[in-house]
Amino acid sequence: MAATESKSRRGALRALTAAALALPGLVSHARADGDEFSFEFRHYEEGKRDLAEQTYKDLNLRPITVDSAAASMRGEIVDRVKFDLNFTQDTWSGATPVVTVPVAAISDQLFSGASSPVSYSADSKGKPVDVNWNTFNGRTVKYTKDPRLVHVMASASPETRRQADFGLGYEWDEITLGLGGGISEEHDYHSRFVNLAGTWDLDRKLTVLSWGASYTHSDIDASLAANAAADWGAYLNQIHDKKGVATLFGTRQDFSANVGATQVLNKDALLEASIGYTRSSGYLSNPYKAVMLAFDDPDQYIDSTGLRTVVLKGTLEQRPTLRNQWSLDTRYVQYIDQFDAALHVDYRFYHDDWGIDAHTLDVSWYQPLGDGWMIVPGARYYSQTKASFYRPYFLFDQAFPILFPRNPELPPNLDHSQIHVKNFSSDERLSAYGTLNAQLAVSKQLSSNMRFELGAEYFDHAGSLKLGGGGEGSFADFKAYTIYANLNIGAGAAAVAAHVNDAGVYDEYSAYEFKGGHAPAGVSYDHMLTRAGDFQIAYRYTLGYQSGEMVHGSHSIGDLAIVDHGCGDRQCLVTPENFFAHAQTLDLLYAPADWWTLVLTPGLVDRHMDLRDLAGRPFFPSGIFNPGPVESHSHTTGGIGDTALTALIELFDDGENHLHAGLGISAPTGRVNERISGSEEFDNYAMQLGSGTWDFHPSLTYTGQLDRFSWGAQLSAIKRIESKNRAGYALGGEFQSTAWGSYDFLDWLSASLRGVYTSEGRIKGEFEAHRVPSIVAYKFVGTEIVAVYENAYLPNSVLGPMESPANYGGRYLDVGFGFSAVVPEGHLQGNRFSVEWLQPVTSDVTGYQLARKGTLSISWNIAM
Amino acid sequence: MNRTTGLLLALVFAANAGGCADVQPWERGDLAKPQMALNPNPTNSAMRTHAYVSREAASGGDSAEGGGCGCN
Repeated sequence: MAATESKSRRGALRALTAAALALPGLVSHARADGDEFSFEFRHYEEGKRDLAEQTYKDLNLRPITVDSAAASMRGEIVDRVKFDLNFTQDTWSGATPVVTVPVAAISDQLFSGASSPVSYSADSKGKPVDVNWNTFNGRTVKYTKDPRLVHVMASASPETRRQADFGLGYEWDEITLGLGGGISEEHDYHSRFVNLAGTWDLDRKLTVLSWGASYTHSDIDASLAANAAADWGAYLNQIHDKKGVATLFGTRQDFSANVGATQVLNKDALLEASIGYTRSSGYLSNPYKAVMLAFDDPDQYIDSTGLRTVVLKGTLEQRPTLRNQWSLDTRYVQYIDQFDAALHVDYRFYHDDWGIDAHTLDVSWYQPLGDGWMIVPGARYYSQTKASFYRPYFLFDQAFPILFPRNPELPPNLDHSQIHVKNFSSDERLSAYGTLNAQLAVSKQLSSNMRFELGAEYFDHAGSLKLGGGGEGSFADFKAYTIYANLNIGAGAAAVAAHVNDAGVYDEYSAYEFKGGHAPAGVSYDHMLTRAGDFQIAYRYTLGYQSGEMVHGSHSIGDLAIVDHGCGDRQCLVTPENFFAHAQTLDLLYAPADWWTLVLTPGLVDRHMDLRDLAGRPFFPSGIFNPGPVESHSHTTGGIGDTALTALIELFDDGENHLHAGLGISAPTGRVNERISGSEEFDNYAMQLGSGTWDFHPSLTYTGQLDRFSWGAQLSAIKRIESKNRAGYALGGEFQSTAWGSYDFLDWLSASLRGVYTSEGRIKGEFEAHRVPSIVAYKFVGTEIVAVYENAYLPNSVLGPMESPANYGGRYLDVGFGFSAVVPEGHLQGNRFSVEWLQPVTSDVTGYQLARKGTLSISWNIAM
Repeated sequence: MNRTTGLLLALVFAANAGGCADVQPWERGDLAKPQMALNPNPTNSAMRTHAYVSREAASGGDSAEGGGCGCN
């Protein structure tokens, strides 16, 4: 009791100090007082763009989606020494514009059946026209002018970016100094950065000066497989073979510096202003964006129709290798006494030497509603001018400048010495446009130190919204939305101060109470909460790793057997070499009553698979009439996974022994229609993000403890409620039994040993047939024979064992070695970190599968 | 650029020199409210900024932070 009193008094004192010190300079520079954990999930989705004659469905395309998650932690190591750790992950998938062409080129393409636009017809003045070739009478033909433009879209390779960064800061009485750094990793873009920042409080913190500087080095190695038709232009010497794929290598450096000041204007208003400069140099282009160069030969032969032919050639975009950028940021915050609200007005002016000037105005209204609720409506307007080297496509009054390479086996290229433009881009992000956003956030202070926020934002991106008009045409317009959920624990000085105002008390962090023992990191649903109304959060990361040899039953098997038997009645060409399955989930626990606990587990998953050619595979000569099957050798997918909601119900508890049952339902929030980059083919079953079906997850968990020993066992199963998902199949059911024991070597550290038996059923059904453009006939156009394509329904290709549903499922016996540590004191007191490695002992797989190498689980139970 | 710098300096000086009230620590109750924080939710605003950076050209020149591309 005495301890509790002194704790809460210390807490209140700290909170009051925090209130006195809660000044904008400190808060805005991310060195807020008090420990803080923050998590955010975010989903961004673009709407469909106007593709003129075609639809997303025809082309098997999906607009861009981005699923992101962030976790961050801030606190104090010792007096005056602050730290922050941040982790961010975002996964991109869907289709983006690659080039822009006149709609007339698409009309010609659809008529001829070519796989990409290669030319368009123009009238005598060179204006693009749609030609109705069915009206051709041998001499003349009917046509109509068509000035419209359209994007050619491509499914970008789905990719996951992970960023980890840290900051360390020291606070003197009036000066702070911070040092930070981090890395950001994508398969094609690798960044390393360091930064240094400081603040200086003047005049009893009425004025805070701030400064910062940073340096970023990035290495790019982008596969050009999806952009294979584009000319390489200036990048010829930067493109090299990597694992059989033409890959563009580049480096880039960014140096940034800023200075600013925050000023308390009066007791109800403050202003922050800063200027920034960034110098970027090196490879600043986007390797996945190309430009259409159009050549209207003035000396071309004009036949009786009077139509001109303008020849198109895609080439990789070429931006300048230097960019100087300046910005001015101002933020103004005004307290509105009448409503106890705050008006935030942010304005930013941006200028660079690529010709882009941009204005951003962001206005929001923070309205507390009482009882811990806050609502924040807002609007944002952004407008930019275009880069000097941006055009939707580039038209030249000259013949197609062919360059025959010295090596006669290579195809002819563009002779860039005859093209007078050196820098060109058709990336619509460098065009002139405006964006108008409406946003709304709602937050609720759930307890003294926990805040939950939900928000949504709607974007309208349009050329016509540019300040003063004159923006890009409507072909580049799109709409988009974002939704997010944010959870903040410890909520920082400002919120603590508010709480003191409201209630006059502030609870110290206390470790949550739980029933049952803590199982090793790889076991879910191991404990319940003790008291009705309690919350708890755990973060969990798992990595399943498969690599090396292929296995059939319980023995490794050679390539020839896989070629002949791994793909059903066809021969296999490729086989997996490495497979990484990452999952990050949050366990959100809430106890509606003492005897049951609800667990919601949202999560993000991402997968990566490398393939190799099988030794002894059949050889398919490639050519126009027999394009051999092509399989990319590196696959990545990622996004939101399935979401489970589970009720844990207490069956027995005597303090030493505890038994509870789990009844869970998993909703199919993970996508099961992920496709191979640049193809209509579904990516294989292991690469999909969820089961696609509603699933039932029952479990039974027993835990016991005596002195320094604890032990437990769990039976769990997955039953698919539906017989097939939207893609046409259902994963097999699963049964798992596990038992473990652990021993506390120290008060804060324990080690565990665990055995796991898993039985996984085989996949029922298979990917449904999908539309693929197929050659159905040949016909004459003018004097040329061209293929006629039509969409045909074809079954998903099976080029390797991972694409056959017969090669999933099995029985596995694993042994797990784990450690678990609880922070005994200090700022992170009560946080529990656990790690476990599951080592396969025996495996008996169904069909032909890549060998399992192990599973890593890390969990973090957060003290609140 | 010169115009920009000039405007900024004017703003900063106006804020500093022109009529800033002397606000005593005990008068800062309103300023300490959560809705008055310049950046009430740093994780949220960092993610929001990253989303804009990958969609809009005017990306650089502000915070002294690094970061990757995420820029299809």
